[in-house]
Amino acid sequence: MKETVEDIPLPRPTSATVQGPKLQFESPTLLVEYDYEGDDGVIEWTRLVFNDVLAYEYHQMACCEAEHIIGYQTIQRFRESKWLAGILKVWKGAVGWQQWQQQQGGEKRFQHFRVFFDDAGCVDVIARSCDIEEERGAESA
Amino acid sequence: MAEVRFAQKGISEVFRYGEFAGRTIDEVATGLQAGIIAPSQLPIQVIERGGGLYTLNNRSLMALRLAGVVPTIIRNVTGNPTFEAQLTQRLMEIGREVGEDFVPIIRRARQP
Repeated sequence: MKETVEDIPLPRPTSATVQGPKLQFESPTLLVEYDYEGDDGVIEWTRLVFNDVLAYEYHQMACCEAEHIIGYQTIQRFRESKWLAGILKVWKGAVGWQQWQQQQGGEKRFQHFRVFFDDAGCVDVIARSCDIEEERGAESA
Repeated sequence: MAEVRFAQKGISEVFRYGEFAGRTIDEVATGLQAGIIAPSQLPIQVIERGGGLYTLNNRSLMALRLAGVVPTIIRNVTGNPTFEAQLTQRLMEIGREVGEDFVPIIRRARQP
C-alpha cells in the first residue's frame, strides 16, 4: 500500500528524554509526555494529546524496525498506511456505518501518527488529531 | 580492530532495559571495577561506517570506559537496516564528525 506521510514539527526533540515517554490513556484520549533539558538547565515537558483514539501501540527500542526510526524533531502523520487501513476496516464494520459517525467525518477524520524516542521506543497512534502543548519546568540544580 | 566510538549526543544515566535496568552508569562501572559485573555482561553492537566503528550501546560503552575495561563481546550489525537508521539519526543530531575522542553528555534524572 502506498503510504502518504507528512511531518509535523515538534517544539523539542524527543532524543533527550530522561523520564519519558510517559503514556496515559483515558478513553478516548492518549497523553504522551516527554522531558527535555535545554542548554540553560531548564527542564521542559512536551505533551502530545491524541484525541479520539482508535488504537495505539508502543514498541520498545529492541522491537523497532527501520520504519520506526524517524527524526527526533517531528511527528509523522500518515493519511494512509497499512495499519490505519486494517483498523478502519474493523471500525467501519462495527460503527463506521452509523449516521452519527458519518456526521463526525466518517473514517476520513482518522489518521496514523508516529513519534520516535531514541533509546526508548516508538509510539504509533490512530486518532482524529494531535495537539502539542509545551510546559516550562523548573530550573535544574 | 579500531577503537569503538560513541555515537550519541547525550545519554541518560540510567539503563532503561535489560539486565541493568534501573541502575546508573556509575553503579555499573563500579560493579565492573569490583569484579561483581563481568565485561561480557555488557555486549555492544557496532556499525562500520566511513572507516570508523560506532556503537549503538553508548551507555554500556560508557560504563566500560569509566571502569577502565574493554568490551569483550562486540557484535557487528553493519548493514542491518534498523541499526543503520538509528546510527544515521544519531550522527545527524550530533551534527559534526565523530572521532575516537568524542564523548556524549550524561543526562541526570532530576526530581521536579
